[in-house]
Amino acid sequence: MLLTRARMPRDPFMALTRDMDRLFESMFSPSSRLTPVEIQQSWFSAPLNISEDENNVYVETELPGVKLEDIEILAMPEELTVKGSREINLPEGSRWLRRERSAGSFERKTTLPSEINVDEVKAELREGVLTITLPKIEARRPKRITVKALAGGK
Amino acid sequence: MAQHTKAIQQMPPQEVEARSHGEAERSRENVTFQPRVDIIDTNDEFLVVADVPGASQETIDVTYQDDVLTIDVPVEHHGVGPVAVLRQEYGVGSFQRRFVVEAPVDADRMSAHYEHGVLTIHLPKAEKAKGRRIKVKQA
Repeated sequence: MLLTRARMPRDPFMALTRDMDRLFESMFSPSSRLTPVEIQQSWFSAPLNISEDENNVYVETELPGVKLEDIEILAMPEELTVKGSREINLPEGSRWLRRERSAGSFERKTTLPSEINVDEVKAELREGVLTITLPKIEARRPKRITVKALAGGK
Repeated sequence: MAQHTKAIQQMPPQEVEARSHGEAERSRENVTFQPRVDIIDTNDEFLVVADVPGASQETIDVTYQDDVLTIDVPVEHHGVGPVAVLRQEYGVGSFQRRFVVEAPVDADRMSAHYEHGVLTIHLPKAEKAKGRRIKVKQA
């Protein structure tokens, strides 16, 4: 990770942008001076990206800050459920200046495009991204058929 | 107690589009997303916490310059190979966001860590900005 404490000369354009920002703040959000916490929170959701190749169905979802032990995955032959939760706690003696990250529990259920082998499902959580690999059952995989040319007239 | 209510302000965003944990900002070359951010005022520092899943710690760039805090988090698509997309509920791309910091901070002592897709930046307050408990002597 790169942490920069830059000491470059002031960019006049940036100074202008900042003045604009203050202007906008004072014009459009006078009430925020009264309420210190900007509540823009929404419920935690788990949006799904689903893809497939010949052998597997892949389900991905972004779950930043969700602990492994707080994730539950239920795989059925043609349906997948992902549920979990995350908590966001305010350190003692602190207060919110801005609060956009959502907390709470989520549950997503989706039908699968192809019958899968529930015993072979794998899941991996890496930097807040959950990837579930669901192997298609053998019989549902596309088969490659070799066509033999018949020699004419025996 | 309320003097830092507006201590850290957001720079105005450009065009936005929905993303699971932030909003997208479209440029000509690619799409970057605005991460969702919490800002917490502890007594000694400001904590800036951003949901930036799918990044790698080595490429995260946090810059403090002229009272502007810039968070730059490159994210590459972590594809599993050639696949057919069946449903896409969120886009994947880099995160970027800037804040104007109006409170005096000691940026030389700024620190950050990335864990489970969450970036936490510690921005210590400058000594003069800290609240002091004053003992009142009895006359």
